[in-house]
Amino acid sequence: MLEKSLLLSERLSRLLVWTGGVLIIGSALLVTVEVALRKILNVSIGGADELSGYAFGVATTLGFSFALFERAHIRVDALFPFFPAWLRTLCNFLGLVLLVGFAGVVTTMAWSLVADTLEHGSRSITPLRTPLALPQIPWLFGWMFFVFCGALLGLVALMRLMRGDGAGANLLIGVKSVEEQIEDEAV
Amino acid sequence: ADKPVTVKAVGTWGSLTNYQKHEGPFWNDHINAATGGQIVGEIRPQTELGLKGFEIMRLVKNGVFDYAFGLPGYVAAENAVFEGADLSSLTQDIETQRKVAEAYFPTLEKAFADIYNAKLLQLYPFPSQTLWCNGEVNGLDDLDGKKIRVYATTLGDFVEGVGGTSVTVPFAEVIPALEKGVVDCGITGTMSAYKAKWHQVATHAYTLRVGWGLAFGAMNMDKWNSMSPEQQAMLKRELDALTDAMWAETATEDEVAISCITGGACEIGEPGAMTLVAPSEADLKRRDQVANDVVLARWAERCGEDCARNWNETVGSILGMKAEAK
Amino acid sequence: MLVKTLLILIALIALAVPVAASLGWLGLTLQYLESPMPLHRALGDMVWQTGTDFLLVAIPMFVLLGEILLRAGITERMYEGIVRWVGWLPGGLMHSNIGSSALFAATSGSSVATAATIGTVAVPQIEKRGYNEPLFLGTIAAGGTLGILIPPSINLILYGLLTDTSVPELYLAGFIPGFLLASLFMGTVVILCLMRRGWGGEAIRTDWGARLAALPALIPPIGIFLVVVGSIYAGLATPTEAASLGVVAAMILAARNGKLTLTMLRHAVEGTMRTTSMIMLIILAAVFLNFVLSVIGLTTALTDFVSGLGLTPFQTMLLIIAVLVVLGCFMETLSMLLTTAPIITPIVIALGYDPVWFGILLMVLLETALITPPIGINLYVVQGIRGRGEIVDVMKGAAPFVITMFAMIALLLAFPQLALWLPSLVY
Ligand code: NA
Ligand code: NA
Repeated sequence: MLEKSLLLSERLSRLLVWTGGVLIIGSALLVTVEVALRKILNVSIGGADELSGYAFGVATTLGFSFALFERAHIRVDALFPFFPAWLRTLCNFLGLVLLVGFAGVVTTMAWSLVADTLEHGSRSITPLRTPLALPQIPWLFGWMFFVFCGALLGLVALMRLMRGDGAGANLLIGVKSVEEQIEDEAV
Repeated sequence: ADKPVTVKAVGTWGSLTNYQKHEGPFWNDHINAATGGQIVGEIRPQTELGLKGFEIMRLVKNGVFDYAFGLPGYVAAENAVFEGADLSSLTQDIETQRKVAEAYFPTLEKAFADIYNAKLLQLYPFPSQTLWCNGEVNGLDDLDGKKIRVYATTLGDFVEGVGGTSVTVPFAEVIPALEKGVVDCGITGTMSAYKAKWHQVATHAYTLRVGWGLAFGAMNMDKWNSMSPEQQAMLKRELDALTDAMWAETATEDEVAISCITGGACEIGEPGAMTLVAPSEADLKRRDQVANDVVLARWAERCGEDCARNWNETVGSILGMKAEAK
Repeated sequence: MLVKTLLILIALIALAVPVAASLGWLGLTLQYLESPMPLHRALGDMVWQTGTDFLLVAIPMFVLLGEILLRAGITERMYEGIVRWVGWLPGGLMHSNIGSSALFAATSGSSVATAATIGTVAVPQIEKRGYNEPLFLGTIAAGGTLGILIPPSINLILYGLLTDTSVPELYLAGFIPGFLLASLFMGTVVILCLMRRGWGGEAIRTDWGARLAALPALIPPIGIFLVVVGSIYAGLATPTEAASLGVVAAMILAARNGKLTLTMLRHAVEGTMRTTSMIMLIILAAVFLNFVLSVIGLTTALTDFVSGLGLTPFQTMLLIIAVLVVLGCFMETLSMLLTTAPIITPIVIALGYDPVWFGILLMVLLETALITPPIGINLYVVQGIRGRGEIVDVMKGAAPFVITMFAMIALLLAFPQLALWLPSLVY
């Protein structure tokens, strides 16, 4: 059940990353059109910079969970190889708990920001007057999904560990091993 | 005796006079001495803290800071009412601008209380916002068809009202943008323009006042209520004196900056060599029309009927203007 | 307070807690210990404001530009082309790493993006020719840092903003030191490879025919260079906008090569977002940490300490440099710039130093910070691309270039004209 949710979440995180990619490429095209129109017709779409800022912010948070599954959030593993196995396992869980915990604090605060935005119907103070809820809701979703995936990942890893499947747990939250990486590249 | 109060404050830009001469010394030193240790403070500029200014009042509301200096125009995301005392191009001299600020104070006071749970205690200006152009500009008509960098909705309204194209470029990118003609003109304060050396990339200073960078000082309401009436009175008295000093300072600073940037007398640094273009009578007439038809009309639209009516009764009666959605 | 801060950070890092979480929890812990105010409540607003800052949009754009050029095979051909020109030097491909970085730096405003792009092309080459792996990785990490010294540069723009210094002057001032530093990096490689014969890998033989034949491979990147930098100087776009133009130009080039497929874009996007999200989470945590450090007065305490010592201007400058080098070990560069520039620059100007010159010196110090452990973003980027082995390898390999950067700092101190001559011709 949990394992299956994990698989689904992982697939969703990939979809989110592609969405983020569409936003980034879309921004690049929008800015290019803005630059061209400004030069050729002397008109401005207005706010291409602002919109690409939102796209960037949203894409970034949508990518957090993908980076988590890929174990791309950097850890300095200088002392790691010298630790005994139990300490390494402990560190893996500690690292995940702290990462998700910090994201949790941010998410709570981001939630209150978005709640205020909705309450006041806040708009950006630029000529575009963007209703801020539009970019902030998907942005908040990125944070929430990141926390959700982190918690799920921790639970599944814990379950595998209790089943005696240390290697399986490591596969989820450990530092990437050489073999896994080579496998990644082959795919 | 009352328990001494400690106030944690956040200021505006650390590189500008308002912070260096007024906001900073007031909270870091003056208030302690003036109240015999009854009120002590500590302040850092938003620039040092890595803040952008738009979030300042939410931080006061959430209790991250007790007191904040900032720009109502920057916190206008929650409500267009905050724009009302600094709408583009309406006032051309600082005396009138002070009257406008005072007339609008009760409106803003209520908005700060309702939206940010904060006590508004000060309104003061930054040096006036004018146009800095790379290329010849001899009057308002020359702005037609020009690409002009703006940073706020009301400035965009003004630029579009005079037939220009409003472009949003971050402050950090204005210099290369002006130098290379990505934009023809940029809007910023006189002293900021001089200090950021815009004269190295722009040729004409067109001194129609398109804004004042009106700023506020406000305190978290719970903090304010936690003070004794004597402490509140003391703080109010000292802040009023600070406000007066800031209005006086800005009045002279505007002239100093314009003189410096256009190659006049300059005691604060190397003079620039921009051509000074003052707005003509005809320019001011045309400005009246743009202000009425575009700047005020659009603002009335986004602010709502009650908000516009209130403005007409307060600021409008001083300026002899009327905000009406078209 | 300083000692406490360092101890907490070192402990978190040593336990292999993710860097972003280490910085974030350090901030939260210091807030709990030192501040009466609920600073964490600023997190939502700070993360939103910084996370959507248009100036940072250049980061994913330059990474994506790199990914597309890479997957269209364009970077690899450019790299091979540069190999034919500089590969004969002792150290072979490592010079190509540095040369390509310098060239790419002239189109990219970000050191992270420069390291990511050149790294992606260069890393697969390690095994092919038997280089000393750490040193090879070090050339990429160090070469990548040139991204912020050679204009365009996001960091120079920010420095100009924070200290009221003219950005065009700063851009001009960065040219000579940038290319000089690239040459010094190459010199470092030559010296190391002459000292240790095994480090330089197989010798690369080539001739003039091959060199000339390689020239067409340089045309596409030069085209991108013309779009990204040319559009700025032709008055078409701001430096941040230019990054987006670069992405579009790269897509057009890839399309011409018949490589612009959905699958290719999907892979490019996955790579881009993995890097961007990882870096941004660290930047966001670092921005919060700096906020806490400023509020609790740690930053000011440091400055007061420096100015209270009563040293000569030159001694003070050396002390400032020493402090920045130490800070650079532990801080992410963007936050380091944002916190230190507004505080230190006034001191430096009061001592009689030129703010443009100091801007360039500060860039070199930031470059140092990018490759000094434990917090060095370029180290992470290179390790991220390499994706195997331990990060200690990258740290070891980057170490010699830290020394080279110290030499560059000494040169800037001895000959301020290196930075100031070019702007003096214009302004
Ligand atoms: Na660069
Ligand atoms: Na470092």
